[in-house]
Amino acid sequence: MAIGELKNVAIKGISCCLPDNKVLNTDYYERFGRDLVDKAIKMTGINTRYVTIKEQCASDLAYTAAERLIEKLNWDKDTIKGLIFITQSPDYRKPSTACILQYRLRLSEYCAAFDVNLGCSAFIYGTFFGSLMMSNNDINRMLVLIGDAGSRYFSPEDHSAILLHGSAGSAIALEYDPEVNSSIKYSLKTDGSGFKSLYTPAGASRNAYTAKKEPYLHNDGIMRSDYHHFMNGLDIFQFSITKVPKTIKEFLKHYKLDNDMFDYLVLHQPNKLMVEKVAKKIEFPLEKTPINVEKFGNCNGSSIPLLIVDKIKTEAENSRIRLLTSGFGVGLSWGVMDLTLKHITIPDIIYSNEYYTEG
Amino acid sequence: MEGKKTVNEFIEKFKEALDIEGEFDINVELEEFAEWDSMGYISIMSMLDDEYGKEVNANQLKVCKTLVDLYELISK
Repeated sequence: MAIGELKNVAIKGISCCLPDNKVLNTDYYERFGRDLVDKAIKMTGINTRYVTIKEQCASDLAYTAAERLIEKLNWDKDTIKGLIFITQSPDYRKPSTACILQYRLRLSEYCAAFDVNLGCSAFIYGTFFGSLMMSNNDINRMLVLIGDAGSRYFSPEDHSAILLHGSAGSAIALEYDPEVNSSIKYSLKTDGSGFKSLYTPAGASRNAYTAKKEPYLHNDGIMRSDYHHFMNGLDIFQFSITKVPKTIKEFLKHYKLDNDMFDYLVLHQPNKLMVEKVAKKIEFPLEKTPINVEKFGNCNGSSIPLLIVDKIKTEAENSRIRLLTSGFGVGLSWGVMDLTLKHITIPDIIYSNEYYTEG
Repeated sequence: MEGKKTVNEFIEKFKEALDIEGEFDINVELEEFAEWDSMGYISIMSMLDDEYGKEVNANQLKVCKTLVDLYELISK
């Protein structure tokens, strides 16, 4: 079982950056029809989203979030020895966008940097990787950056997905700290049999010679090319409300933990209905389950950092809070974590349309 | 009579979940409802889970032709 405990590591800060480009779902009345849009808003709870401008990549958002966090933490950049960028929207097929970010952030050459291709489970996996990388005592500070620009890769006709997704970048600063007395407990899972529930058929190696560039009619009545993201919302919904609560319960039981021990349940934010269902199924009180998907949409891997920065900033900055957190989605990949935040640094949410001009 | 009450209750739960009105019986064709689409499936999945503790998948819903077929999912 990929279930374990990480010690001597603390999250020192979290920051988020959104595109300075707010989109209202009601703006889509004309494209998708009023009834459909209203129904989608009612079901998902999503009213507004922030979407990248054309030139802007997910890495630009993560870069801005990282710069602000380093500045606010007053970290000497030479002390950062590791950078992981978790994304499904890399700048290029090669190299790892993390290498470009190491350069843009002017981090030292003595820095391990690589990409990880994960989505909604990114925060859990990133905290896991980052903590592990510091277990050897040679790396004392790490940046885990997460970024995605969800909605831009769907077919413009794909109402089932466009109205749900926003873009966001985030940065998590991790530090080796032998004084920390709380461990990070985790459980990580994968079910690759569901890979077609959320995928992009073309654009990489598979199907390279047969992929259709022109949109064609899919079974669900939507025109997509093979280069567009595809999401089977029903499969994802079913997965999220069955396997995710099951894993959380299994995790709590394994470590003899109880809902009462946690200040908050911090879940990935695909839509309001799913978040509430997961909370309900593990019998976690809804008043301790923050939700902000109505403002930002599903921001993939950045949903969890964005929820912390938006909803529990003051407590995370000024006190010690224990979170039960879970990210789940594309892969299918999911994870659960028991995480304590104590006096961490959280800059206000940044809104920016800046992008890298040397790319 | 108990059976009938359960059927009627199920019809009410179905109407509530899809936010539809009007009178119909358990033999109604699901295709008659515009609400019986992918978003409707999600509402129904959620309702079956909440009210009847039944976890069904999309394929089980898609093959249902009438409300009876759907009702049978919870009776199994």
